[in-house]
Amino acid sequence: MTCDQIQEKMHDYLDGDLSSEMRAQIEAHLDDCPACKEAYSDLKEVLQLLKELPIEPLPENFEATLHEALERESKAIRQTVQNKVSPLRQRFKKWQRGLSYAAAVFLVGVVGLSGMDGFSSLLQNQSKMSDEATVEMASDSGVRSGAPELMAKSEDVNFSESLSAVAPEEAPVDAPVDTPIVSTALAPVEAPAKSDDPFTPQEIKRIYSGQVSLEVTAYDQALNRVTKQVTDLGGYVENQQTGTYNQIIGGKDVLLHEGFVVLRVPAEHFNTVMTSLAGQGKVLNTSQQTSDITAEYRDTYQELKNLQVREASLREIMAKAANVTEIIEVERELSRVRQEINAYGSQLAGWDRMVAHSTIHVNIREVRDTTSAVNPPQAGLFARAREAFVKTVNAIIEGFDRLFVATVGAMPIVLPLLLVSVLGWFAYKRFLKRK
Amino acid sequence: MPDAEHELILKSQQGDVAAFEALIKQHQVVAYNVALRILGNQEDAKDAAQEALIKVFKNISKFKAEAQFSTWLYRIVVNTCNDYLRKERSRQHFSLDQEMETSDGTLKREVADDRMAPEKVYEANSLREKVHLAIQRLPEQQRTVVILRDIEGMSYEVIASMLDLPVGTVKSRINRGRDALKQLLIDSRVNAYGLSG
Ligand SMILES: [Zn+2]
Repeated sequence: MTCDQIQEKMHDYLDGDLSSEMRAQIEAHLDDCPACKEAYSDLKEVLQLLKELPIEPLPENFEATLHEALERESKAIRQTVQNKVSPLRQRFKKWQRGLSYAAAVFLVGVVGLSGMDGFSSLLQNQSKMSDEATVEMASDSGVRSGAPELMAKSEDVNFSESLSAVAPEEAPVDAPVDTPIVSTALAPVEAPAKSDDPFTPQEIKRIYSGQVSLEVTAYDQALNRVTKQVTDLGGYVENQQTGTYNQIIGGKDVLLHEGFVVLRVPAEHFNTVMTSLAGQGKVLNTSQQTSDITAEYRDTYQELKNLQVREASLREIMAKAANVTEIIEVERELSRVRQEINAYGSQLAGWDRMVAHSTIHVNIREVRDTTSAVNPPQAGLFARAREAFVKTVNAIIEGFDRLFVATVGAMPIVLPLLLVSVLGWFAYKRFLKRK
Repeated sequence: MPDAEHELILKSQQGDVAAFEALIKQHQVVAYNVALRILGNQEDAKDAAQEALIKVFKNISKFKAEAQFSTWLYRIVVNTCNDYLRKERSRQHFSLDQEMETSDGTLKREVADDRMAPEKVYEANSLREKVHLAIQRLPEQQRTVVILRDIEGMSYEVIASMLDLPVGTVKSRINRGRDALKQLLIDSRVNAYGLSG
């Protein structure tokens, strides 16, 4: 080996990276060559000097300054993390919420109109919001629903609109809350959630709601019966309104009642109430709806848990905070986290209420018993003709109402079909032209 | 990757400052010392090391679990310091032209000149300071690897993966760096005290 090669290998020699025979070769050369020997001892000294350079401690305020900068950065990171997780999902949620709200308003409107339309007019209107209901709504957030397990068989989102009465086999099985239903349960009964944890991942969160339009002969009695049953079952009246309308029967104006009541029923009694409502009079219209919010609930619950962890760590940082600037910054962050925790918490509590208590809208219209209305002894020909005319017009209007409801109900199916067939037609036309 | 470190990384990715501080605890001193050797003075070293660690936090979501965290961290430290040095030098060069006549400008000129001047190495009061100043006169490519290998004691393989270079390249750069350093110190011995003391 030349001296240059030896001096190159010297580095590996000093690093201890050489085979024993190579080491021996280098050692032999160093013994014979003063130039390489000097180069070797210089290099060895340089490496020694480098190794001996002291490890400098961090400057005094290094960690404190860094901490402040990291806290500022942390905000930006959390912002990105949040945005990454949910912008689409949040937008979707907003859409979904908007749509279901619109659908609910529309449905109630339609049901209400078909129940109270025609030659009737609302003369008086008494509205009352039940104080009891408000109080209970605020306090029942902890109530755990027993219904999801019982109703697990129904579709995830099941919207059924029927013009007659509710089909009994579609109705959820009814059972008391705390009795585990094994024989009648349609799905395996989930283990009850621990009291300190309002949500177990397996738990299904469903919101049930229903609408019923009734014709009754005695308004007050029907309303009282409905109210009493709901109260007995642990439910309450959320909102109730009664008005009157005039109907000409046998040539005379008769004052009749009509109105609606919004019932909040423990979810496990939803079906009992729906069935018994159908027995209160002639059912003009009924529908029920199930929406599964398990996924949204779980996401929100998880977000809440994360925030709680974040809050705990912030409190730790707070305890260790060294100066006022730090304390102020941590406090600001803490209050932001607290705000979010409250928002998520009240959203969950709201859902818990919706899951625990189903909502049933009931429209009630009082009518005269048909047997007493028909063929009044002193009715003249003209009066009877007018009555028949009124009845027919009424029936026509009602028919249109129902047709309208059915059409709107079928919209989600009809619109895509229409779109597909229009596209298909154009495609077919183009195909013909090309030929 | 150790479970504890992995967990701290996951938390840091969510913006958890406390977790991040725990994660970098054992690397801060090395990061600062690497910066100190590259940049030469405490003030710049502190700024650059902090800038690097903030960058690590900012980009931690991009960190891939299969890589070594410390390697990734030091890569950012080295790159940040070298960028810092380039920026600083061009800035000082600029201010040198601008502020020639003011007392401030004169001072700046001295500082800017000093860093690159070989005489400074010769005039250093101690051998230790001589070595410190000599390192900064090395070309960037050699300086970085010599600091990581011969001061911080990292292996060729770690340095190679840190800098995305073949091990052979790292090795030859280290050898060149050591030789240059040796020559600088020998020159300084000739000019002043002598290598061995
Ligand atoms: Zn030789």
